[in-house]
Amino acid sequence: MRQKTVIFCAAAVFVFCAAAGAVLAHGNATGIVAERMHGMMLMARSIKSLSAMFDTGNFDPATVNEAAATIERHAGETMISLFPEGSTEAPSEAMPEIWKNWQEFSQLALKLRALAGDLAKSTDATDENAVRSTSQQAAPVSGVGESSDMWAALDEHVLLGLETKPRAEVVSAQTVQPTTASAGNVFVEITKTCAGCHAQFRRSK
Amino acid sequence: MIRLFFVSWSGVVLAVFALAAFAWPTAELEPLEVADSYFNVKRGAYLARISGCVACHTNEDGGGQPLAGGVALETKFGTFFSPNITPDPEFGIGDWSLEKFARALRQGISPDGSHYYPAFPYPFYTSLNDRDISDLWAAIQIVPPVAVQSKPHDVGFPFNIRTGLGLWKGIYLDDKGFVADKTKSTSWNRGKFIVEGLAHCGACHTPRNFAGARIASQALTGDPAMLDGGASPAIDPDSLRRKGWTKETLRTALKTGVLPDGDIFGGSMAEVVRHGTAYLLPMHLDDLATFLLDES
Repeated sequence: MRQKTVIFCAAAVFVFCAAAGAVLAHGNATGIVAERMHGMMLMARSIKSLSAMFDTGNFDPATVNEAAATIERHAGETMISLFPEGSTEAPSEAMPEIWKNWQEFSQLALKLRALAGDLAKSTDATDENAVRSTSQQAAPVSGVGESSDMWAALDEHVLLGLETKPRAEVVSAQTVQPTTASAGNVFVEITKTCAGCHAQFRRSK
Repeated sequence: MIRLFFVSWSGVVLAVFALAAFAWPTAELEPLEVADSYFNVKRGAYLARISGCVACHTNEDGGGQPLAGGVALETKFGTFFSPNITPDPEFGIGDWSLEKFARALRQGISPDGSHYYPAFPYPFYTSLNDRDISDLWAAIQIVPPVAVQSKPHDVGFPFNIRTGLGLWKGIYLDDKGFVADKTKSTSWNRGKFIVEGLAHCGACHTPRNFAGARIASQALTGDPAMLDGGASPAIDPDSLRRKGWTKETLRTALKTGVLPDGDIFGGSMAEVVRHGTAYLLPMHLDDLATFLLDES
């Protein structure tokens, strides 16, 4: 009986500390706002780890899988269920436009979860490497001393919006052709989905 | 008090516009010579993307065709609609000459001699040289012409009197062009060219005065009252460093929209990244970060 009490107390202390940590991290958020801000923070950590991985160019399947699992867990239906109508109390940055355009918001949340699934299935990072490999060829925007073929790798149709391609491919014409579901491409799509949602439905910081 | 301020302010603006109507009856139309021996479509397309031509003249959300215009820019002066700049001779700019194009971009003067509103960011494009203009012109020629009428701006009195824009330009338009700082590196200077010109970062990150002109002494220090009603943060070197930005984190944020803590840009900056800075070549991202942080 005494042992049970100790375990209960320890668990209570742990829960309290975890909750306090979440509250401190999210500027006194409580209830459902705190819950979803915590989820967003965990997804942000995953994005940070993926971004750092692509920056270094060292593809790490464990980092990709962990990030994919975290995003999958907090996006989609989970995210949708944490946005009951009118839940905009401080410090939430959610805008009322969410409920005016609920279908669009829901679709973005579901798309994010689907992309996390794609990320878990992806295995390589060729496109990011392709982008990076052109850095030595890139020409000055304006100035002297450049040769006329320095811009040859650019795709003018994509740049002018005449064709749509994942932006990582813009400068890849003369380098490695990326596979369609590479981690780099999926990552770009994930960041675009987050940005699209933040641009429409989150207050500017 | 606020109302009083508004009334007096309106009076000043009205007086300025009335004076301008007499003082600047027509725009200058001296002949221009533009060297046209270069024409690099790919480079021009890159400049069109980085300078915002594609983003601002393509109504993607409304299902518009590339460069056919129709994007609304809501400001406290009224709503401006980007015009059709496809090579359609009737509705676009197909019957323009290279010289007319250069005059529009660098001087903000339309082929009929009227002044453009600075909602079209020509004050930033004064730094474009003949080659930049020629390449942009060449790139626009490969865009399919679209026979769609440009939407007129919805701007109320007194701002609908374009003649007053001549005075505005006389006071505020800095047309010295790009001046390199020889004490700085080539990368820093390229970054300056991109930030202060093409990418027109100051359009949002520099505060404006009562007439909507940027306050030069406060360049890139953030605008608490942007024309669209939003607020933008300071991106001057001191502010960026104080917030812990590095060249690496700036490059990543401008390329992907991912911030140092893993958050992702929202607001209008999300659009800027998506339609503009994401396309910057790695070398130019580096230049931009070098200039913004004032590193060597």
